[in-house]
Amino acid sequence: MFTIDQIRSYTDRFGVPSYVDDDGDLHLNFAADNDFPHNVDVVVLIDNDRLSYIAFPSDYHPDNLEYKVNRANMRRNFPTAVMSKGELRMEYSFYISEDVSEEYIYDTCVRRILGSIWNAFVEFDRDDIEEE
Amino acid sequence: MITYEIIKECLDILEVNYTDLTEENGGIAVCFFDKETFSHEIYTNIHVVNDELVSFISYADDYHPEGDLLAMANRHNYRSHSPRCYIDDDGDVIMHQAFVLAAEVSPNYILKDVIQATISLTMEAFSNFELDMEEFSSRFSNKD
Repeated sequence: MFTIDQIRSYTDRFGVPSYVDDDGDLHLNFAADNDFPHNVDVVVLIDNDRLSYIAFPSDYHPDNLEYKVNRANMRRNFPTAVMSKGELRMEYSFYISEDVSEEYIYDTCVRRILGSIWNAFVEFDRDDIEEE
Repeated sequence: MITYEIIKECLDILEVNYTDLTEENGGIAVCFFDKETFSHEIYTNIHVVNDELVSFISYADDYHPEGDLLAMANRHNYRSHSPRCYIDDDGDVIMHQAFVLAAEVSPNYILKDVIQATISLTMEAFSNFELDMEEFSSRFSNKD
């Protein structure tokens, strides 16, 4: 249905630096900017019919994390904020066992979700965001 | 593209009863109850936005688990892909899943991977919500 090479060919269109690790997982390196001044490593995994993203920000330690994780999940449709060992990460996965178009994979499962993950980090510590 | 009509057709195929509240902007309301799985009725509101986003927001009637709810919600999100969980302003446990369906997908994808999977996983999520990690691990070896 989809492959890491296919996903990487899409992310290459955005000019995002990437590499494939020894396990065959794709790593995307998003550089810090003015909106979110921390680099973010996004790991892309494929397991049978599931395409998953796990995003790890570098050196980002917001206070009151458990409350803000819940708040982020309350006000955004995706991705899912998760606290693991006191660190924040964003996750989302697509289960696709039936036919979908290539455009769906590219536009929804890659382009939009990566944009959502970045925006989730940008908005994570802001108090002035309304629920979606 | 996703519409309320498509949602209702799928629910009919799945033989799931629903209440159409779309004229009052209330979406489609579905109630589930399976005493063997979870001892509370689960209410799911299905909303479609701009013919491209569908969201499923679920809560369990009269369900007030004891413990640190924020930690329990995070534990759920840590070990389960979907639906995601949060605690709302009233302290209720909410299961939420959303899909963007702007690009072309097959009817079977909407029926099976979107609607049927969400309904099934939501029931399972409430059923597993209070399980500690050991209990959960003994029930499941992987995220599902």
